[in-house]
Amino acid sequence: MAAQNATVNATAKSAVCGNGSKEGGEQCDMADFDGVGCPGIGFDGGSLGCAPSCEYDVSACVSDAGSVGQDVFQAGIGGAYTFTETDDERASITLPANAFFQDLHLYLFSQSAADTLLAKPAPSGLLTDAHAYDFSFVDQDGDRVDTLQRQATLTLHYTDAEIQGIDETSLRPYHWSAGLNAWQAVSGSVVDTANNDVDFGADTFSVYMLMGAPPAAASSAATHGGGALPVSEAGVTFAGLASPGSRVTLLKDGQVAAYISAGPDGVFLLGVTGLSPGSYHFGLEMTDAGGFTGPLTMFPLTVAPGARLRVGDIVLSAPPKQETPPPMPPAASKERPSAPKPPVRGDLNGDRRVNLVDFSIAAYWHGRPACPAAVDLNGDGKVTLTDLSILAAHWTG
Amino acid sequence: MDINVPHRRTAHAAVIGLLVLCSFSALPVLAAEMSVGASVGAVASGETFEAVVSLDTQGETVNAAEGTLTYPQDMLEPLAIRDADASIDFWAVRPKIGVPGAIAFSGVAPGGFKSDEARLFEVTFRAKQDGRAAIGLTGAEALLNDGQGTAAALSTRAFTITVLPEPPQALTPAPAPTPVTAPQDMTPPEAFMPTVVKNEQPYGNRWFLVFAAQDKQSGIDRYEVREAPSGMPAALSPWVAAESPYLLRDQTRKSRVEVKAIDRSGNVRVASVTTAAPEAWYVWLLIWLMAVTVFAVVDRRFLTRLPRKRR
Repeated sequence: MAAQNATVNATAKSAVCGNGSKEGGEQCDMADFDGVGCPGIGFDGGSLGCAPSCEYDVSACVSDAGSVGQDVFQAGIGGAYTFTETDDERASITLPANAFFQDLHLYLFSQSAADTLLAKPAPSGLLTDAHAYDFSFVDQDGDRVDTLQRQATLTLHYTDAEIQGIDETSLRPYHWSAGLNAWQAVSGSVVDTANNDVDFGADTFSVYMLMGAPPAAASSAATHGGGALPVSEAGVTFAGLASPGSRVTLLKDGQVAAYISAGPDGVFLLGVTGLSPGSYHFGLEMTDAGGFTGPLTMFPLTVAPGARLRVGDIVLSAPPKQETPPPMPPAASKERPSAPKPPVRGDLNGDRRVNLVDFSIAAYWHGRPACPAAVDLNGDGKVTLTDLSILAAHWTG
Repeated sequence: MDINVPHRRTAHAAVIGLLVLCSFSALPVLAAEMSVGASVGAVASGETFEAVVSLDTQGETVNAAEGTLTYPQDMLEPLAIRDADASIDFWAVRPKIGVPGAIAFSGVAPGGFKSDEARLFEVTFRAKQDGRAAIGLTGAEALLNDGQGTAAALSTRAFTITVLPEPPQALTPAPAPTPVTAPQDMTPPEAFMPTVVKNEQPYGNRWFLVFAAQDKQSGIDRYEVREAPSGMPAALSPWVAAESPYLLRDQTRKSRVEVKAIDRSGNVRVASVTTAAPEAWYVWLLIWLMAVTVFAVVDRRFLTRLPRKRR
């Protein structure tokens, strides 16, 4: 059982706080809770109080969970929140700005695997000894919010002891579906075996828990699972959203490894296999129908032998808006040629890409006298590391 | 006493000024640091050790780094360099053993990297002479991934290793020289895709080849290129050492071009480039037919000129 201290937050209110009547924008007002008690906001029991700011005072609420953390999400700026109780109980959540239209109170309940699985049995074939985390959001009206408007990034930490007998690479986050009364796997997670973290995105909040399969079962599932990567071959898949119909390109250490067209809904999924163990600089970018390429989003990953990593919930940035010429009279528009595309900085061979070809050209002139002006990107009369850096910053692959 | 007052004030002001100066100088300076490190602080003469050059970007995203690793050549002998699995993707100046006492390097990582210990490369040294050997960095530079090539505030940290004299041979048997073995690497370099390009730079609108392979275990050692005329067995054409960019000999692009990437353990990956306009099969059939015909004619004439045996 754990009792919590109240958090009082000074939030602008449009209603009259202190008149004893709960109004819009108030979680409570004196004794008026609109029927909400501790269980209604995620606790197991206790007595809910009302702070002078007309926000809940949860100091007398109790929870069966081992530990509870709380914080306030400010809608306008978002933020990253990490809850650490002991070394083996750590969870983080990163909320983007405007993840919800108003500020929210965030409560995190942590519970041992044994207690959690008593009420919520693990799916057949899956094992876990990791803690369960229940993320609970409460809005300013005192109502629990289960779904956000923008996706949050969650990180659940695990210890080696918690995953004994489990293939670490098979670890996946699962969330408890009250409607189905069952655990549901969360897609798009990434297992960071070096730091013992699992990252994933979510916009619906309930109890989350890490589970995995024993080594043999994991191998079998990978071999026979539809679309899964062969377990003996390390690989990485990337999934997310881009502009509908845009071309999504995956770079591996600066070179094009794969590309795909995003679907009509903008969803893309692509990957690369046959990776040797080691560290990689993966990059993703999208190119729109006009041939303009957006910024490169980097994913530095360390690949273990046979690892199958998945990076999900990626949102690629669109290319910067290009200036469009003013509309022309119909008669003139036929005669005037289309406006030339602006030059791509670092593109030394004029193919509107910045890649190994351009680097090779620049590297050829690196340190040589009398380099051509076209290769000298910063105009100092020579090709130095600065020119190579400019080129690398505009890299498209 | 009166005279001392201004002196005291001056002294106080100086102390305060010093304190202020000290407090400012004590502020954490968020400068990236390029450093040399090793897992051992002392070795015996004749033994080997690894020196690692790494970069702490201090939260900045860096996409280019260069410098020169310096070492006392009378005390240390570089035996091997390993740049596999490094944070640099493309080298303009690949670190290599050549100039005595110095190993220059310069390279980039497209998109940049941010790390408190980004490994650039490592050098295997053999200690030659006892004493204290300082391995340092000169001309070190790290540039931000800001599109302008802005230099990051950078400090460098050298490493000093103590080389102990060899144990007297009378007391202990002389240790066998430490063998320098490449890391166990049975994996060939990763698949790569050479590209043929024609451009004004750097070869005056002529066709050239660019390529780069990756090997995460032992690292790429070298490249070789072979241009085999279309229709001819490739084995008849020699492999030649090459670096990217490589000016193609056959500017008609009718040759089959292959690039061989060889890692430091000797594993090989060969990638080929599709020729732009190979000779049509019937052209080669015609050439072979003509060759056979010419041979037959010559052979017949030759045979007819041979003196016939008299019966």
